[in-house]
Amino acid sequence: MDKRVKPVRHLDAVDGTIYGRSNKAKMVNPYKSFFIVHYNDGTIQKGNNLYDTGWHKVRQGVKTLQYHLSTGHLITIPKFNGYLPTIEVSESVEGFKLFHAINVNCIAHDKVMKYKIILKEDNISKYKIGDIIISTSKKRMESPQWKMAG
Amino acid sequence: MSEPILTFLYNHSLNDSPYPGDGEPVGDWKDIFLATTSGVSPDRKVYTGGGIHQALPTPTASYGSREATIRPTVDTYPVPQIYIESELDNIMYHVPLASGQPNTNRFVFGVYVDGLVTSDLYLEMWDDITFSTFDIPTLSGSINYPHSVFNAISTTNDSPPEFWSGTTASGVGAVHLAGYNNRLRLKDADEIQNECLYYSMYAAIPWDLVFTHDQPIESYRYLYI
Repeated sequence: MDKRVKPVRHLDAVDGTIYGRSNKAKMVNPYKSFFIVHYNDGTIQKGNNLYDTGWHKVRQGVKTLQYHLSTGHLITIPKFNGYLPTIEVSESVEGFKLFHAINVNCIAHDKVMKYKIILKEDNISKYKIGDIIISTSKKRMESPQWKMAG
Repeated sequence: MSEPILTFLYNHSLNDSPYPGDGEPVGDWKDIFLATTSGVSPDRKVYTGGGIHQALPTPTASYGSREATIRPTVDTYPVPQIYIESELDNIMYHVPLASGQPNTNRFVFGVYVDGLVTSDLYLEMWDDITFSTFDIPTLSGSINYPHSVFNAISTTNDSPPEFWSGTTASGVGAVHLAGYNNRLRLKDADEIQNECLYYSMYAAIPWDLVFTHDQPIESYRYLYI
């Protein structure tokens, strides 16, 4: 049996609508949101989706990292020394999955900058789909999946 | 990289021993059915008992009786039983180690992570699947008990202390579950791979809680590459 939890029930090509008790939310379509990597040699590599991101296939020597969201947003991450994106999700026991954000960790000299790309909006939160929240950290996540700039 | 697969588990026995599998139901450990493909409703966690019979008769059909829980005249009253309501099997599965809380049982509920999570795994409770509010009475509490009635504690690394609650055991990883800021770290680590994490929980009804029938959602937040 396929045990992967599906996202919201009212999902179209652009986004999905989530109905709560008193609030209504929208979330990007995770099947149609992906990264785009530009390399120094001029080649371009497209990711898969937010379930199977395809990040492990990205080569070293990244020139530019972008994210295409199903809502039409194209987000370009500024140039850094290295990149490691993580997907932030919630999975409920009722069999429901919500994608909150893409957290792009970026190496900048002696610190790590995090670009949090918002994937969900509702009537209460001040953030909308495609908004970016920037924060910094001294701690670098240990992972072989860091992809360095060219 | 790709998403990890989570399996939500519960111990259907009195044997306080860890889950021996790798994501499938094994022995006394059953998995919570999520109904992702069929028209059958997903399993539900039901807090009940405390009336005349304390617990439901065995077996009880999923559409069968429930016991209303007593609201105490003073202090708080832990709802004595937790069941998993399975429409698929048409039965109420008892979780006996979750009875008589607060207790020191360790292997009560589990989450098996198949794959790599690049953060801790956080247990949260919200009003609904918009993940935006926690205003319902069981999550916001009462005037004299101004926090969630749901007490949860991580037991991945150790057994809970005696008489634990979301308040008294907060130093050892217990919380009153409500929203983002009052959530439970299940491992207290930055990475989880192919392993089972454990927790215990109960609901404690305060004397001045309004009469209510709430259905908050229980969810798990994590990161992956």
